[in-house]
Amino acid sequence: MSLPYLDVKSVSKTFDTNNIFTDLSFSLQKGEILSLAGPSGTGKSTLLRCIAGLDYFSQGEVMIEGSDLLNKQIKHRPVGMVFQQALLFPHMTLLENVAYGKKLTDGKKQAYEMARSYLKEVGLDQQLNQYPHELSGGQQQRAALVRALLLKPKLLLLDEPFSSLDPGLRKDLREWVRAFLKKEDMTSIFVTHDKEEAMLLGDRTAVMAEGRIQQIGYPEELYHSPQNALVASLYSDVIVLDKTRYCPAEKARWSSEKTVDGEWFAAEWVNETYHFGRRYAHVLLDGGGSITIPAGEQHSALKGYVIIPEDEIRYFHAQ
Amino acid sequence: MKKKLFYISCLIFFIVPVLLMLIKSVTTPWRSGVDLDWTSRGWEVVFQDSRVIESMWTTLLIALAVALINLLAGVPIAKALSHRSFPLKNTLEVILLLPLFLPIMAAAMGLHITMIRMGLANTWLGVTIVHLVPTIPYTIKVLKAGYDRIPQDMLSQGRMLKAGVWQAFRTIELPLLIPSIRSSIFLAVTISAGQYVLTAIIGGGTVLTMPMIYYPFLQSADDTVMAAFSIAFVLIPAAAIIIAEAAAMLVAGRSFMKRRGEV
Repeated sequence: MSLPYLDVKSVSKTFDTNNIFTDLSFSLQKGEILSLAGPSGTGKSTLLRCIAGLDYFSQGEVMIEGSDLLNKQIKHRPVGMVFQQALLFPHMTLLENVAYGKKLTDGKKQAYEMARSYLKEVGLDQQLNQYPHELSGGQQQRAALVRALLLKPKLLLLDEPFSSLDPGLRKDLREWVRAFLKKEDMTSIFVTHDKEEAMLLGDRTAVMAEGRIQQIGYPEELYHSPQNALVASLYSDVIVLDKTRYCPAEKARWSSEKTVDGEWFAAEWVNETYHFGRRYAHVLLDGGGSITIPAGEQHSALKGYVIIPEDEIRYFHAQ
Repeated sequence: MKKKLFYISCLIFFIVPVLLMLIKSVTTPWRSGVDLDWTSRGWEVVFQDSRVIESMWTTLLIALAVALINLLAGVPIAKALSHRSFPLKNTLEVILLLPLFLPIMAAAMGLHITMIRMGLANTWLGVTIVHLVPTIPYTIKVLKAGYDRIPQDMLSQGRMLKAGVWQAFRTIELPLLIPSIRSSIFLAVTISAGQYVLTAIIGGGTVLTMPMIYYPFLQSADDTVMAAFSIAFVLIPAAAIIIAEAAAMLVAGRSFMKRRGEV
């Protein structure tokens, strides 16, 4: 088996006495995109900042192509980063912005030439001499990505780059970004708190919560066999019954009467929505928490029961 | 409507008084019913006094030195206060503002003794240092506001694009800070050029700045001479700002010019 391109080995970050994250390990092959998903405040951004060199790990090791990354100064790390905001420098034109990093290493002429050809490729060649405030949010974020890629980093870090954009633009842009990263064969780590975005952009996804990577794998593995209740509730569409058992939400049904073969929860029907021709009920459990289940042909009723068929109950496969 | 109000108040409070002073400096005191009596006497009296030219230079150099030290000290302090968090940050911020609340005489008397001990009393360097007392707090305040407007991640972005500390400062921070730097230079220069008490005590009468001779002139009660002198006085901050702008343009280069055109 070949050596991984990027190898993150049991890194930890402690701030004062709080552990932000402990003992994280994962590795990536060249050109692979890893989505890092999880609720906000779990240290996803901190992890990226530590890899980038803007912050420091308390412990652990990061190897890239077999050489130690962490003992390199930020200036010499082959790592690029795109932030939540595009952060184009407001006093420079689009061309100057994109060429900024390359200009420092390779001189103005080569930098401008390269920036021009990249900007043409991403359809921004009409805006070369415009200032950032004249560009749309999507154009700015595309420019920020090109700016980071121009330095040809070995690893690109993307910290929720779409979070400041409106939903429609987000959708267009994430498809474009994935295609672009794949074309450049760019090894990347992409942080998001949106599970759909994680699936769309990443080859694999790591679900991070409570300071640990709870599970890492292909979308199918995470979605269909979550290892614990946390992953299930964050990444999958399931009803968590307790610490060991769950039921896929699509197998549950709504009923106005209790049942004998299986489990049931008393609940209140709040609303309904339609997706791909099916009707879904949004119900509020009496015990707290709200879930979405297929509504079937049932008429909406204010009070009723969520029925979990006995043979659809599954067990978490903790490793 | 707002714009109109601005222009009208500009006219009443700024342009008209300045014009009147300009006219006054080249006419004898005017009485109703009499035509204006043009004279160059005011300007002659001012520039006949050899101390005037000399004190203009002294004032200009001290003001520029004060502005420079203000920036050198103010930029790192403002950056730390705006972009870093450390214990007792708010307390430090208040302490740095305190000189403004202290009676200037109290500071001057205490500093005078220190200056004598250090051999800085009666020197222009001593005066420059003491002018920092009423200027540095403003500079820190103004520059901190400037840094507050630059997102911290924008500087991180610069570093991720492999800019060194100096490169990032020159190409990102400085151009974005220009409006604040301009304000703090202006404040430092005008405050320094207007100091009387501090200059008199620390300079001991040997360091002659414009205010040192302006006040004695005031007693002459000759309106024409006073008007000419006041205009000469205004030239100092104006000259200092032109020099400072030229220097900033050299450092920040083209981006500095562009910021101006954009506004």
